[in-house]
Amino acid sequence: MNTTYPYLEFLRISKECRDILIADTLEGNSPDLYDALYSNPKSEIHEIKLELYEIKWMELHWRKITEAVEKRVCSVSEKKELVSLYAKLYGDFVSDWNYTEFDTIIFEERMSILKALISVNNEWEQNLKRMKVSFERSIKLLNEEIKQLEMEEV
Amino acid sequence: MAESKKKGNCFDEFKDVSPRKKDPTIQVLYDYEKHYMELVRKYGNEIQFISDMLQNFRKEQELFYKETLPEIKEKLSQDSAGVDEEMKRVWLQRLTTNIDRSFGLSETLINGYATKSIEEFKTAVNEKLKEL
Repeated sequence: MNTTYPYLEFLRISKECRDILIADTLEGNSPDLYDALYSNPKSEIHEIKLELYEIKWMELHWRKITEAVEKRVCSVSEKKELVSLYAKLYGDFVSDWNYTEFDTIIFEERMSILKALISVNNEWEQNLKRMKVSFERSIKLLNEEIKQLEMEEV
Repeated sequence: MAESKKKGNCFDEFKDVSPRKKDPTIQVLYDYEKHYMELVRKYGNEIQFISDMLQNFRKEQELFYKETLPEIKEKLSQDSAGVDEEMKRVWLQRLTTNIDRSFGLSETLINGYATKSIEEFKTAVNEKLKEL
């Protein structure tokens, strides 16, 4: 495996994601962020909406990583090594975020999937799918929480 | 400083040398210099690449704090529909934290890249040394 390639690829992804975060704020590209910014700051709902936007932004990193792995022409064992390195770097990156109590369980589950991906084994494709499902669950649960809070406010 | 000593550098390879190399002939010294300079020349573009990468990264950080962040603050204040002041404060804080963590990630990646490049250089130096 080209040992420097994953660093450059993830560097490109992190820059792209920063640019997206800035453009979403400046140009109102994201309905989720727009919705959060115009919600009532005194209501608990704004926190959940911001968290939903941030989770989608963090997921975007992981989605771009998996796309890069899929596109990369290399052997299966190299792909496993790539995923392992990305999982380690990504895990370190997202571990600093504070999650609401409600999302903590899913977050911990996600970190355990990342740990499984770091130890190169034969279940890596299955674990990649589990990561995808984990993000989908988070987003679904946060959307449900927002709906419930909106109904309570009405 | 202490860390660089602990981790070592490209020249550490030359500390542990055979008796022949401890008392080198002019020819061995010449070969060593020649191979070393060839490697430095070969990796010159790589060194320049890392330097450019770091420079661009610092520029991006500077641009964010000097221009982009003030622009975002102004944009949120000017918004006709009006983002609530408290909401503006909360989001600016979270946005800055998110960007800082992303910068932290990029810095880790640049360091990782540089370390891997140095490892490759050291391996190449070792291989050349074995030939001498």
